[in-house]
Amino acid sequence: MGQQPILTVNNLNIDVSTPYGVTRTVRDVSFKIEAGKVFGLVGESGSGKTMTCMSLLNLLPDEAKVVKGSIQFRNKDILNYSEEDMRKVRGSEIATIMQNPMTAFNPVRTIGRHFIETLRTHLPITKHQAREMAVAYLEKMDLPYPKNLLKQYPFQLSGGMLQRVMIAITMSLNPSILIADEPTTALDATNQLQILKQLNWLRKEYDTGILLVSHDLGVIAQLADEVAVMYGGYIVEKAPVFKLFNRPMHPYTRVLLESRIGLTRRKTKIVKHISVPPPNLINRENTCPFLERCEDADHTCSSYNLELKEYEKDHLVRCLKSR
Amino acid sequence: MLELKGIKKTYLLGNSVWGKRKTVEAVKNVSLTLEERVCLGLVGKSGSGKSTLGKIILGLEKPDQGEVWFQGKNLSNLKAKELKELRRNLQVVFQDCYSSVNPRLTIGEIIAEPLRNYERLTSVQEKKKVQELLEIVGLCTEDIHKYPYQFSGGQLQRINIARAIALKPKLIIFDEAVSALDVLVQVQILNLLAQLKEEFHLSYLFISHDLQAVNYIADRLAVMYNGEIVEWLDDMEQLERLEHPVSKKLLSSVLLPYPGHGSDTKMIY
Repeated sequence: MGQQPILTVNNLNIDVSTPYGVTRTVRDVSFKIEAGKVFGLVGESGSGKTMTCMSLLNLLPDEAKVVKGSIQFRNKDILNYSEEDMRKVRGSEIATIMQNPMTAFNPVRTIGRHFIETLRTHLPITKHQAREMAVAYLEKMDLPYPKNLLKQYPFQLSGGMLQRVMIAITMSLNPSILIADEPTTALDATNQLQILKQLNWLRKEYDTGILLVSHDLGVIAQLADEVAVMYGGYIVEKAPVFKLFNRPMHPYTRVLLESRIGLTRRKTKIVKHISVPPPNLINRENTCPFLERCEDADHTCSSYNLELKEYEKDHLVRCLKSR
Repeated sequence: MLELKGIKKTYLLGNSVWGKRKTVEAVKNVSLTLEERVCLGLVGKSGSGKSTLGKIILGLEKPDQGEVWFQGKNLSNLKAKELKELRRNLQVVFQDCYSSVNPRLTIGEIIAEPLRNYERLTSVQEKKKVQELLEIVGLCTEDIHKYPYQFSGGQLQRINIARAIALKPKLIIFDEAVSALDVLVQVQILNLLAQLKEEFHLSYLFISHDLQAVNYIADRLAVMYNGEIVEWLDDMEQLERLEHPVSKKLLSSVLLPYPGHGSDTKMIY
């Protein structure tokens, strides 16, 4: 297994300009992805997870800009890549699976055309070879009748099947990094489990490093080796999965963990919830983003610039109170 | 309060001019009863007929066979006027909160719509009522002049709930109402629903594929598969005793939010 990280994100800062002002969407985000490992990114909607993912592919929308930081892929900063270089990296080296498989496909093209187009863009093979490869990869994803599947259109498949087709296409190019942005959110529970199992199989079989983004702690707990919790654009806590779940240090992580329902009954345990809206990201100060929602906060919290500090080995927390 | 007797619904597929058209039996012979102040959870995979059943109860789809009885009346042979009167007691909240509101109406107008259909209120009374409803679901009274795009999914779902309870209905159908929301927001909404149910003596039909959410809120459970109800559970405490293979599969696919749990189920193939 690789000890050397394939992808290193250093001190990433992303600003997005909106009609209401510039939002500081991502702040000081650093993490590493190693071969065969799953790095989980948890956070509520609007916490900057997807923006972080998009920047790894150099696919940020025009309004968004990386203002600081670097993204090292195999020791080169991909932020400096030209569009042409980036095209070669995308798909074949860093691949992505989107949340909604229904919109990721072109509705008027067959699955086969999608598959063969992708393969032939990156590999010097004939149509016939590409088709054979496609069938082989669809089979690996446990999809029934792969030959017929190639002739079908996206709307003829269910969401779970489409997601598996997407993973098959992605994996056929054998990328070293896979970005899975909420890969199971749009699927029902039984499909969800199956997709996660297949992702797990992938990383073992191909030694792919996976960035798994989700708001669902169940998904993260299932698959991730290391987890970062994002809140208001910052990573507020980062730790190996067992440490994070057993000993959450940041108050937000605790709230997240307390809100897990699992299979408890409401009568036996009323889950607490916080009702203050997420932070306003426009023109904010460099203080704790969780300040207004935090139960432990006091006057000392608002006067400090916070840094991610090592609480114990590999366990980083961005909170004054945890020290 | 609600009784379904042998409901059957078949959809025609495709539009072939020649030959026999393909059909799908979305709901086959489903009977169920729902008592007052009970929350019935209806779970099943996508395509198992849960939503179709919900639509039939609401009268949005006509069953091919069978009867829907609501408050002692058969919905299929009521006069339009009687049906309208009965329907105020029957409300619905859908999964996609953005498409269930008109983007060009203000929140005030959206929530007032059912009131305007059934009750004659002066504009002052109406405003007061809408503000009350907003407070009940945990939003600000100033939100009354805002438009849907100014809200997050969770807030908008609260608005949909406010609209659903505006007429003090007897039964609300939730069709995947929390499935699209963040986990944190999900818990908030589920807590709100539980509280409203007690306060207004409501009955719920809670349709979802997510056994965790259903287990959190429902009193009774029905598992649907291929258009049929394959298992009933009257006491949610006995969730582990579910026997049907479909129920077991649903149960085993719940992702418990504890690490290490996955490791034993990891990699079956």
